[in-house]
Amino acid sequence: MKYAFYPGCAVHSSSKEYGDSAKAACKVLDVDLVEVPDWNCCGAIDAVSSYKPQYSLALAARNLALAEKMQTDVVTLCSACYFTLARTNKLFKENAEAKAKITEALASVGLSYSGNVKVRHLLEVLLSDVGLEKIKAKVKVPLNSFNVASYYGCLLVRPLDLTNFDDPEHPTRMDELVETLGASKVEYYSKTRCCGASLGVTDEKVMLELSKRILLDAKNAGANCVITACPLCQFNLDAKQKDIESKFALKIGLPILHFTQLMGLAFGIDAKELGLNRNVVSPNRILPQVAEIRAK
Amino acid sequence: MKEKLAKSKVKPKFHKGFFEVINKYGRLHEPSLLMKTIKKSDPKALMHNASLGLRLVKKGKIRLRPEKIEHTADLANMLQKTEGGKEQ
Repeated sequence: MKYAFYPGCAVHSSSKEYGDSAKAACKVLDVDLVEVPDWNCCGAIDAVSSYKPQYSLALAARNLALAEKMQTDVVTLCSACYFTLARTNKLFKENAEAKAKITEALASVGLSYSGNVKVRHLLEVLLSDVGLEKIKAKVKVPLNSFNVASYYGCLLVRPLDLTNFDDPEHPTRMDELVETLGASKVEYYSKTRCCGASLGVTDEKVMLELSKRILLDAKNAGANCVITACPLCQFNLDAKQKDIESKFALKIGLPILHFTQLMGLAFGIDAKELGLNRNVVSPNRILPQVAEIRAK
Repeated sequence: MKEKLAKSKVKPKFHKGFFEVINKYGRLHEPSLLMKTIKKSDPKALMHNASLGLRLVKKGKIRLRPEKIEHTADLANMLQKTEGGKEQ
């Protein structure tokens, strides 16, 4: 299975390990991610659209036009990129004014778009196109000692008319993946609450409070790690965890893994290849359990 | 609340800075955005960001040199020609 891969900016910088682990896990599953040549930033939800709305459409549309040349679905790892590209795609198909503006913008640089690209998140691709049965067949190291809280955040399953692959309020498909890998799912209240997203830059105290609630909820429910499907959610829960602990005088110490890193561990891929040394909250506390299972 | 939001200078700076970085490189370069956004006159904010920055550098999460797309001029031209892109 081959897909046009739109990594997004974070996967080429602060979340390189997300891309590395995704490619490693996909290789095991015979999923070929071919990067969209010369892709640009999607516009990042409101970051550009709040400043110059039409520019946001043009930025996302250029990526769709480049992906369309590859004649396959475009797949992303980031919930924000997923939302932004899917929203532009929907506007192109349903809003004549937006379509005209996009077409004009693309034509100015010799590009065109017909609306034939389907925008998808890698999690949905792996669950729908590959399927849990094939994933289960590739598990070499069942993660029996992992109690995993699946964190969806806002945009992976909402709004429903853009995503439509899991319940928007009570999603469960990432939990099904967790159980397929031999781990235990952790039920907790905050799986679809907001992590604070880019408020980490513009209003950090709000972001810290929002992420704190998620972390404490997951930990109190018995999780020994959290998995995410978005580099920004992972960043806020992982890289800012120390700031949360400091601000609220807490000790949390909860490793935050990209879901592809968890898959890679279950597939028996080396922790370094999955970039686990780049996670800020050390996952070393749970990794010996993987080594023990491997040794048996 | 409205008054508080109206007084906030960080968010407009963030959006403007984000666009400027994208317009220049085609992709986000986080250190460039941060330099456009943080209050350089606030020592506490500078120290806090330096602490986070150090944590990220240690983990190889900061890309010092910006990554540029091949057709940056095309992208800038496309955005310039896009209608309705008036500054807010």
